[in-house]
Amino acid sequence: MAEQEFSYVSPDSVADALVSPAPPLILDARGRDIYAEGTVPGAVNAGRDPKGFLPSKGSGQLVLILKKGATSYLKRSWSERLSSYGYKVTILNGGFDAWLAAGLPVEIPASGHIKPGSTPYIIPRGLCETNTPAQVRE
Amino acid sequence: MTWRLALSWLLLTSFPLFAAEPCESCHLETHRQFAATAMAKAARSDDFIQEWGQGGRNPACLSCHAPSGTEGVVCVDCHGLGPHPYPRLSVPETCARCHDAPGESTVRRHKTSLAARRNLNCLSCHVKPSAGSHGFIGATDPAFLRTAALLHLAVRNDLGKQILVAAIRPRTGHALPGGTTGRSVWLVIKGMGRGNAERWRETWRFGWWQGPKGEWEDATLAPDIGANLEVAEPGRQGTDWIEAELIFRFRPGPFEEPDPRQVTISKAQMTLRR
Ligand code: HEC
Ligand code: HEC
Ligand code: HEC
Ligand code: HEC
Ligand code: HEC
Repeated sequence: MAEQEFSYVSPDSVADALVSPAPPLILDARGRDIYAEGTVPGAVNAGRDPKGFLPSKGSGQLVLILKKGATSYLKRSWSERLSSYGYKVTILNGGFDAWLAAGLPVEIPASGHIKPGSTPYIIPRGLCETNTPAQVRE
Repeated sequence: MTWRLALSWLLLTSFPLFAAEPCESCHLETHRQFAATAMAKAARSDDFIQEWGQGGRNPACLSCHAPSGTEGVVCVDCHGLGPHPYPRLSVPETCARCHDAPGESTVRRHKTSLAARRNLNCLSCHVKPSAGSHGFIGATDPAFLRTAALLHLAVRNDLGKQILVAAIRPRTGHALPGGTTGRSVWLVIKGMGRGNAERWRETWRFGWWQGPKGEWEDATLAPDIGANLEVAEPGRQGTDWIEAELIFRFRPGPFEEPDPRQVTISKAQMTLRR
């Protein structure tokens, strides 16, 4: 497969698509460590192994973030795997560097979300308890 | 402007006295649109009357729910006391008076969102063009609420171990749930097996929590970022497929207490390869 057969998408059009009624699914395939340093807001860590990746059936646009210098073989493996689940696969043109260069926001992925019963925090009961500044912890 | 409007315009600007006339006597259509919104009835809803009563009818509540001492928000609460010509309003600054407060961070969270950077504002989402310029809609409209987020499932291979990821992407242009401490969003993920039997279940709650000293902790879903929740070894206990559901509730919780108004924002399902 030749390079022209992949479809690339610019950071700006991804940012526009993300605020459209049908935002794309963003997959970061650069590996856990690089992902943890910062990624496109909301991107999913897909690991580095296309064959070990199993998506739910989809239909919309999907944007892949690949490592600098990714080979055509790798691009093809990801594209074929994801297209076979119904996604319209595109590759972020210029990778994450281009996203940064465009001045777009970056997410440092956080882990650990509060789960009921697992923290000292309790669920409030009132429907609206605003305007109690002294109680808010920023 | 027709000559009639032009004339009343002239009268208005030259005789401020006329401004005392109720707005709806001239702005009938605008009034009709706004009267149908939740904001116009903010101090009249059963929930408000009950909670306000229990809290000793605290006047501070009315500074947002009925600043002009009526049944809810009225024209002058956004436009100011006038008279004509009224200055153009800027958004979201106009909304901040009530939608930016401790525990009500909608405007603040909006400012850093991708939506704001791409020049969308509160009105782009909350005013349906077909409903007219003052037909504000929000969470109380179930069809609108279902646009609040997308949910995706996937499994990745992490050093030979399977990890299930449930990705929530909010489309709210502010935190989800937006608004005050009284709403919540729940994610329920279930591992399912033969005979339609539930093998395991994990539950998360997004919204405001209260710490041991009564302090507030904001654990809402951040705009654009949302959350990627992970479950290790989803295939355990003979699980064949995964079902996930993202639910919006008009009460803060707990989940066991039913909310008759709750709405499923999004659902996802996937088969695991064994
Ligand atoms: C929740 C805030 C809010 C309330 C309440 C509100 N307005 Fe507005 N109004 C706006 C915004 C925002 C605009 C658009 C920006 C501008 O033109 O200043 C606007 C615009 C207008 C305009 C200009 C023409 C148009 O429709 O865009 C008129 C007239 C008007 N409002 C009248 C009213 C009247 C009468 C009421 C009471 C029935 C009212 N407004 C209640 C926020 C509000
Ligand atoms: C006697 C009739 C009349 C009354 C009463 C009236 N308006 Fe207007 N208003 C007008 C006309 C005429 C215009 C200009 C044409 C238009 O935009 O519809 C106007 C325009 C406006 C505008 C657009 C900005 C501007 O000043 O041109 C706003 C906002 C507005 N009115 C708000 C109000 C509010 C709030 C009240 C009640 C406190 C009110 N009006 C009462 C007739 C009236
Ligand atoms: C004077 C205070 C006040 C101002 C100013 C105000 N709001 Fe509100 N708003 C409220 C209150 C109170 C509610 C809650 C109503 C309820 O659910 O009972 C509300 C609810 C809403 C909702 C939810 C409606 C629904 O049907 O779920 C939206 C959307 C909203 N406001 C948007 C705006 C926007 C946009 C602006 C600025 C143009 C604005 N508000 C200005 C007080 C205000
Ligand atoms: C990109 C679209 C979008 C933008 C921009 C946006 N909202 Fe929302 N908003 C939503 C959706 C969808 C919901 C329903 C889910 C929820 O409650 O968070 C919502 C919910 C709300 C609620 C909660 C209503 C309730 O009854 O629980 C309020 C209040 C609100 N928005 C106000 C605002 C204000 C003020 C702005 C501007 C600062 C704004 N929104 C900008 C989409 C948007
Ligand atoms: C800073 C503005 C603000 C103040 C002050 C405020 N509220 Fe609210 N309230 C809101 C907004 C905005 C909503 C809309 C729901 C949401 O955004 O989650 C709301 C929603 C509610 C609801 C739920 C209504 C429904 O239909 O589901 C109740 C009940 C309520 N408030 C009661 C109170 C009481 C009681 C107080 C005083 C202790 C109070 N509020 C003070 C802004 C305010």
